[in-house]
Amino acid sequence: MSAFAFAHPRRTRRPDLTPMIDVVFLLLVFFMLVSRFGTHGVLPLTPAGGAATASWEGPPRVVDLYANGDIRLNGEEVFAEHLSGWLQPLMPTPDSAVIIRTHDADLQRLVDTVDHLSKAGITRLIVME
Amino acid sequence: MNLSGPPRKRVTTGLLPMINVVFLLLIFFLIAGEMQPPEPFDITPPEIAEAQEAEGVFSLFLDPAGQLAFRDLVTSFEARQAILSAIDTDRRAGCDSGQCDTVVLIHADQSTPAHFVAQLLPQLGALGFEQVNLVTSGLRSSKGERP
Repeated sequence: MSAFAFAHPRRTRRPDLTPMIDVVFLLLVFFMLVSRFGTHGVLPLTPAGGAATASWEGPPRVVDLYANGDIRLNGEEVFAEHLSGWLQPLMPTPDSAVIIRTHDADLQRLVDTVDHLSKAGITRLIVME
Repeated sequence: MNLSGPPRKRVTTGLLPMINVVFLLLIFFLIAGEMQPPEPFDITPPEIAEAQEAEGVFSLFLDPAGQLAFRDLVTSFEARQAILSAIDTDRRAGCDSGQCDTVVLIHADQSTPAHFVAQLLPQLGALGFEQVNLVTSGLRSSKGERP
C-alpha cells in the first residue's frame, strides 16, 4: 500500500460503439433492400434442334392453341381437360413427341397446356409458332 | 455557484441487446436472402400449380410487347440477334473457364404472346442450350379460375 497516489484513478476504457452500430445498421438496411426471398418455380422446356431430336413415330400429334381458348388436336376441337385423354391413344411410346403450335395464344395458355400434358406423363413437347 | 444540473450519467448498457439483435438480423439477411440484379421491366410470370425449383444462370427477360433484355442489354424482338450473341458469348466464356451452363431462364410475362417464346426456343437450342426454363409463379388457388 502506498501512501501517495499521484496518478489519476484509472477509468476502465470502453471503445465507442456508435460508429460500429452505424455501419452495421447501414449493412442491415442494404441487405434488407437487396435480398429477395421466395425463389420462383420453373417449367422446363426442351428446345428443338437439340440432343432430343429423333425421327417421328406414330400418327401426327399436333396441338393448336388459340387466344380465345380453343384447343385443337390434329385439327379437331377438344376440351382442354380432355386433351391428354385424346392424346394417349396416339402415343406409340410414352416419351413420344407432341407438337404444340401456339398461333396467337398467350404464354399462360401455353403453360397451362404444358402443365396439363406433363401431369399426364407427356413431357416431350415441341413448341412451334 | 454551480448552476448546472446534476452530472449526467452515460447510459450504454441498454444498447448491447439491440446491437445483438441487429447483428442477428444482419446475419439472417446475409444468409437467407439472395442477391439478384433488378428486373429490367415489370413482369408477372405465368401461374402454374406445381413448379420445379428454378435453376439457370442466364436470365432472359421478355415483356408482352416482345421486348427482350439480357443483363443491361434491351432490344426489340426483331433485333434479338444482339441478345442471342451476347448470351452465346457468355456461355462460351463460361465453358472456357470450365463451368459450362446449358440452361436458360426465361422471365416472361403471362400475357406475352406464346409465339415469341416458340421462336426463341429453336434459336436457343441452335446455340447449344439443352434446356430452357420458363419462370413461373407459385400456386394458383383453383384451376377453373381463368375464363
